[in-house]
Amino acid sequence: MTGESGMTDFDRLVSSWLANDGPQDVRPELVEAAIVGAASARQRRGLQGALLGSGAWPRRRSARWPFPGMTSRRLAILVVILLLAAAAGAMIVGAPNRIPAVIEPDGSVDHLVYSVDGDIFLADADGRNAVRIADGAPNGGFWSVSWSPDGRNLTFTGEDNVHVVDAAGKVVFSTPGCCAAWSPDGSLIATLFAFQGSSDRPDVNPGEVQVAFVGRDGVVRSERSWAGRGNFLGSGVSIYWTPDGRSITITGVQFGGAEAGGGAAAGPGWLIPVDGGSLTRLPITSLIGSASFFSPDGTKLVGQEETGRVVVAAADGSGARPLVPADRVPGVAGWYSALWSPDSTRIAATATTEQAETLYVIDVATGDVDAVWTYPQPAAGGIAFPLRAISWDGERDRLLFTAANRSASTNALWTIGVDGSEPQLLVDGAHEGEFQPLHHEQP
Amino acid sequence: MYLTAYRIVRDDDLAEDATQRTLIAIWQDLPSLRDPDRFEAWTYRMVVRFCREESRRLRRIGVRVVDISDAKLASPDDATELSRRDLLDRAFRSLSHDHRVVVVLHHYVGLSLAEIADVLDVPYGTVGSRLHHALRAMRANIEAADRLTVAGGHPA
Repeated sequence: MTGESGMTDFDRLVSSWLANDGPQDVRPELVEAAIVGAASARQRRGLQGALLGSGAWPRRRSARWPFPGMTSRRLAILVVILLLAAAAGAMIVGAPNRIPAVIEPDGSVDHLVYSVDGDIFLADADGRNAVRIADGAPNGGFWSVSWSPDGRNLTFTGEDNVHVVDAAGKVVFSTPGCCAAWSPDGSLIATLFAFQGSSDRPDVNPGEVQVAFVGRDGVVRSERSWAGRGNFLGSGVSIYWTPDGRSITITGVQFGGAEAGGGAAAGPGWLIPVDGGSLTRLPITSLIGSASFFSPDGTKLVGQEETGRVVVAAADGSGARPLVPADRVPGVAGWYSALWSPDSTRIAATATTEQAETLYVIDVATGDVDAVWTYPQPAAGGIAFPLRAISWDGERDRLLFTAANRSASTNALWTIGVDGSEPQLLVDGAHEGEFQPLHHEQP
Repeated sequence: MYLTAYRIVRDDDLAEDATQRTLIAIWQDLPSLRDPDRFEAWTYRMVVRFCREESRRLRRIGVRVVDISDAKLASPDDATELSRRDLLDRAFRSLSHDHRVVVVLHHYVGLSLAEIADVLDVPYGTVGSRLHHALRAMRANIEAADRLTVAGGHPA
């Protein structure tokens, strides 16, 4: 439709978008950023940017050169020296304090990786012969351990970085991010940063969300960010790949404070195509504490509707039905920690009642449940996830899960058959862990 | 200059670099400018040129930035607004550099087609053609994305 001015509605839409979607004025700090060159984008801009940044801006923006007695060339040299020193310092401080591993990757033995008190350990699948490969204490430690699909590398996060190491624990590279996920074919690592409130990083804004797709060589293939003041993810964030490797989903979790009973609620889920397509809000969000969202065959998803109902649905969100009929497990206050079986027919999930936390294996087609492990709720203490399935070994049909230990002061890492048989304590004190895939190829 | 550069390249760092390079060029080449009345057009021409060069750097590393700075994202309406802005951003990014430039100079800076022709040193008709095709491409891109969303929105 064309208006009186000759502009169409679409013309006006574009004009309005251009006027409002982007910076409205030049920030004063850009002058300082120009002086220190690459400070605002130190990981993307090189020496040329640093030299350029120390040149013309102060002469253009300021009536007086702010550094009397120092020419721009001298300042540029000084800035470059400082940047190189900072980069060297970052490399020293940012890298995990690695203890040389003694496990040699032979490509045939599956391993276990887990986190205890922020340190990362590699061990045999039964938990023996553990070797610490990253010393996370006392700076908050490392966590979010994850094997690549081919079992040759693993990632863990900490100190605002995702660390990629080989199967012996040797650091391959590190890249910024608070959490990460391997693409199904193992060619990319999706990393996520979500900044809540204030941030120590000068190059991000509160509320900004950054997603990057990083190759196994450590090179960033593409990156997207949403620089908003809106807290559109929530307090806790997770990142998953869709099984076809064409998109990722990011979700948030809202954790309540003590006055709110310490409860947690799922935040919205968002779908982001890897090829740069539009952001889409998902009709269903993942369950809190889940290790998966879409079924491995890509046909279904498990999650929570805005009403709080926990459902299984088709991959596009249609045909949603309760994951477990209410009469099968009475008195459930909530479900969390959903984990699909490799054949997409079953889901391991934890149900909370007033009396206990119970890990169930659920038949997706029928809603039938088998109780695998139960933990009395009072003994769970203040642990956020006293019972949580984290990995499903399809070949042995066993679950890897964490459960609050006897003292209820921390978690322990267990493995158990999906029918509840042969429980085995692997590591006491471990918060999380993951099996190295058995099916990986020889290097 | 920076605000215009940002809207062409859609990236803070690249816009800063393009602006800095423009300022350096102005500083160095200003004595060669014979007609002071052409200063504005001359400046925009350099902004466009350096945006083009910085955009090549963008393609090399594949950075994409979507700014939703004022979005309140707690409700379905907010999600709709976010999606709309994301669609516009994506549609704009699909344009060639030449098409982006005419859209920004006309719809953001407010230059007339004749003034844009002067800045770019191309015929008036070329500017009109570029603007027409740029907006048509953006609209087509958005309509295509809308159809995909209606059909399911994400891969099965």
